[in-house]
Amino acid sequence: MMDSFLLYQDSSTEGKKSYAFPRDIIKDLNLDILFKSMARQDILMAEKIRRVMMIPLTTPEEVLYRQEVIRDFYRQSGVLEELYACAERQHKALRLYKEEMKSNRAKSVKVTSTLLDSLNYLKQGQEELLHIRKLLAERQEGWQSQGIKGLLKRLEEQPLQKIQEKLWEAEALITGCEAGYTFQFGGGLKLENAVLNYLRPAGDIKTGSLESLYLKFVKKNAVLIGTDIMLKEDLNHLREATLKQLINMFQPYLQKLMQFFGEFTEEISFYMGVVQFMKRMDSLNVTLTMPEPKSCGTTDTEFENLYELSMAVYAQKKPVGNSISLKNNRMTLITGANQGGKSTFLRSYGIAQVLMQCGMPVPAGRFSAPVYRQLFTHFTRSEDEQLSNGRLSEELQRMSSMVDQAVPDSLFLLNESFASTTEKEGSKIAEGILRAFYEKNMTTMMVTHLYQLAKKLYEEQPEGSHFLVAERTENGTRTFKMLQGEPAYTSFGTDLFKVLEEEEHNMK
Amino acid sequence: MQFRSILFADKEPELLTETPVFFHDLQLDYLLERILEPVKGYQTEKYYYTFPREEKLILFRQQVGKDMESEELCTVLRRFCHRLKESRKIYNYSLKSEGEMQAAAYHLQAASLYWEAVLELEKKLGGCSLESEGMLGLAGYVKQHLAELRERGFAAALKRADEFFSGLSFQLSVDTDKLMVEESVEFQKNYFEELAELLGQEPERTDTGIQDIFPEPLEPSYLEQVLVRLLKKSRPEVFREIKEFYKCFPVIYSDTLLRFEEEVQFYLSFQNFKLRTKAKGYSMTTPVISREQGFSGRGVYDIALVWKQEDSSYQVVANEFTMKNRPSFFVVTGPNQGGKTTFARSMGQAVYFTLMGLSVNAECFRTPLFQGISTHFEAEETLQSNSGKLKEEINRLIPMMAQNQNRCSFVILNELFTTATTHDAMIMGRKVMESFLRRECYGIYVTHIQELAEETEEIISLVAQLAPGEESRRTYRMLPMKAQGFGYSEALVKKFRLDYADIVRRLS
Repeated sequence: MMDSFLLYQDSSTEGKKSYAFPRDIIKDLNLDILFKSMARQDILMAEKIRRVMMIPLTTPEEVLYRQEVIRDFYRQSGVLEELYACAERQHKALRLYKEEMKSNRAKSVKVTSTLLDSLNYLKQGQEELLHIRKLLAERQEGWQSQGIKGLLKRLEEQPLQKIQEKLWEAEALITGCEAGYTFQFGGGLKLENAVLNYLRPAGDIKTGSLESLYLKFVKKNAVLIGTDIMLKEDLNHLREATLKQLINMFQPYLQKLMQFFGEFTEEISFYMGVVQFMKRMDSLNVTLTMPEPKSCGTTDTEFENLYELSMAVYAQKKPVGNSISLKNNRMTLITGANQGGKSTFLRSYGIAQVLMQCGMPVPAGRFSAPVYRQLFTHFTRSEDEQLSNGRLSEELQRMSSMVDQAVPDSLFLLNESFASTTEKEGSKIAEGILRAFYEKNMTTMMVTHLYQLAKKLYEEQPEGSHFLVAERTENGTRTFKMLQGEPAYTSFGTDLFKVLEEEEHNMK
Repeated sequence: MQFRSILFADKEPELLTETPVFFHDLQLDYLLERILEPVKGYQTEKYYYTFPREEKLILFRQQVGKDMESEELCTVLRRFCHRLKESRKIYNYSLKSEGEMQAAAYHLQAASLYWEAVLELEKKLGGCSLESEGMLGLAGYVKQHLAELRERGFAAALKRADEFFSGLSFQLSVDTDKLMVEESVEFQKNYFEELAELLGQEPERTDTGIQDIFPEPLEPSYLEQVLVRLLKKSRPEVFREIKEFYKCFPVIYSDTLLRFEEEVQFYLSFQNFKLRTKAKGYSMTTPVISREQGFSGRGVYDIALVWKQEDSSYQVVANEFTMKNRPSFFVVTGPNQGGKTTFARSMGQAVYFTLMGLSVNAECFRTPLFQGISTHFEAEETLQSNSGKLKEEINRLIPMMAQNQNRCSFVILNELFTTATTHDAMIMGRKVMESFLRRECYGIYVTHIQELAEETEEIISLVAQLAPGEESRRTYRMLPMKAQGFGYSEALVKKFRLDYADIVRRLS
């Protein structure tokens, strides 16, 4: 039927599963900065973008479907803006309509006014639909994506014009028309089984005096309404009942309109945010690339010049990028210098993965990775007032609820997990978890200071394991690059300590 | 024997209209509200207040109740009642109509509805396999009643008038200054059907007529009067026929069927209640009434607690008990909040349902035929002083003990004399029990006073159990054991799974 389907080939986001812990992902990957930048100040848009982005696409086809639509809208951003204006208008109209209905109920207003509100909303929605169809049809040649072409086709298949005519006829019931009914007498001689046969606009009705004379004396079955107030009132009543039934008939259509615009608004908001964002990054000369999604269940991950987008947005320039090829990527451990960019790297990877899995371009020269069915982030949380004992249990509890939700082919991003206990205990806990994940086909990337853990796994070198180390030059300078290599037993935290000492010294 | 009543066979009982005193204590008032929810509009309470008293009548009802377990039969009866109610409603309009013509038209409609309802009842009852004396009696009566109506020419006259009337159909056209009516000869388009098609709705599933144009049944609208006037001119014979029927058959209903409509609500409501209770996962069974087999139950649970339970995963605990074939008392002791009162209440509820001839809240229930139920629960906290409270308790006990009809009653005593000293309360309590035992009553006495639970031939001690080893957790189970026996040693045995049942299980 009437569906927008700009995000998925055959559905809306209705019923689609979001990430199990979207709030953790947003917080750990700093996505709020990104949302804000995409939506600018638009609250409606921000909310929709957030929702769409937190529902992962799980096949390359789904990703490509969106990439195509994004390309189309990027090229014809003028149309996109007009579509967004439609969505906004309709959003406002719906809110107004709902408010009216609510206040009508509260005030127990005459039925007619409720009916008129519904009729109004229907008319507006219908006009907006026709407008959308016109906008899309005008650029018919320009659309390459299946998504937009599909929407246009569906809109063209609908009898939109005819439905609009019926809505005009409904309005004519109030403004004046001729109506024909069939009915029977029921028990108590009440009107029963009344059926409406036709509605004719008022223009055609003659009211010559000759005709009235004819009716009065020749046709016995006719009654002139004239100035008969009671009769007029009853006929108004009949018209109202007719209108009520008419609007009732339109109820499912009205629901459909609401649903259509609900979906359409969400979809267009998302695309509007994406295109707006791309244009902005263009102006800052920050590269975004359409990634190459690989099927769920494959394991190769490769990227060039991958950088952390939230930082780029925040600093308004492109930070250091990493180029790494992780063949058969099943478990990656990142160790190395403090302040060496390990967390940033982990985050850059996570953000790119989230962007790819909602169809967006990613911050890299090239990015090719599988789509995962779920993504979990388990980052150590800023030191709160809890005792270390409580912190470990909080971490374990968080991990446990993630495990509850995990499905095969999930991606786990762990940042300094289990650092709140001794290295020995932490290593043991983490090892159990990593091995279980490995066994059960979860992909893990973990930033850790747990040297015992890293060393043990490095010596073992399980198939598909990778070991990255944050680069530190001889003199202690951090390059923020990740290199493949043996885990270091120190994270050179003493470097930092030294800097501190030095500064203290300098101050003296 | 002529069929008279589905509740009292050939008796004419005095129906109680006031809530029996034990209702609140057993939370039957709450249950009755739930039970009667589906039969609103009928005065069914009185039937739940009045015991049938005779064993024969209880069995009569149990049989009917078994027939009512057929969903098919319930549907047939519900539908019959619904149609009869419709007919009565219309009949009422006829009585209240001011115009003779309108009264006659309503009368005809009511008669027609009644005739069809009874016809259908006869046909459908033939398709049900009935076994109870009550239902078979009804089926016989319906046949006989229909035969009578046919004999009196009711059916034929009805058919004539009705056909005449319902065969007429008119066309009405309205514009801004006139309206015209004609007898409808050819098929007219239905505007709403066309609209439904346009909107992609299935016309069969949408209501394409106009409803309730002039909803007031007793006040013909001005428009309706105008239309009738026009019609009278063109088809006077129709109106003659309607009046004729009205004069010849002023009375249309059978008193027996009207009474049946009222009484059968008792069974319909309870059957519904039973199904819903079963759907919650609890059994309901037909009790066995026997003088010889003693008083015993298995899987007896507090059905009010079940219905009050919002969390459907919580399973209300069921208990079992056995009393030999002689008037005796259970004395229940054990921890606070251990389920003692709930247990006593569940027993009382089962006795009540038995005496009503209904299914009971148990897996298995055997009971002598009690003559009534007496309960004595602690009064709600009031502002009375302690001595006032004791006095109030005794004041309530006096009529319970004095009433002659309490011979062989079922008695529930819940925490008597809590404001007296233990010694006094014990002596009084014992006397109260002895007194009831002399009247061949059976009963249950919930108390804190262990001495009252000292076992004799007529006193059986039950103890509310704690979870083994966990003195804070109640199991809500009652087991026959010495009142002093509950406590630590037993809990230890349970904890190590060393009691008889556990050892048997562990070894098998």
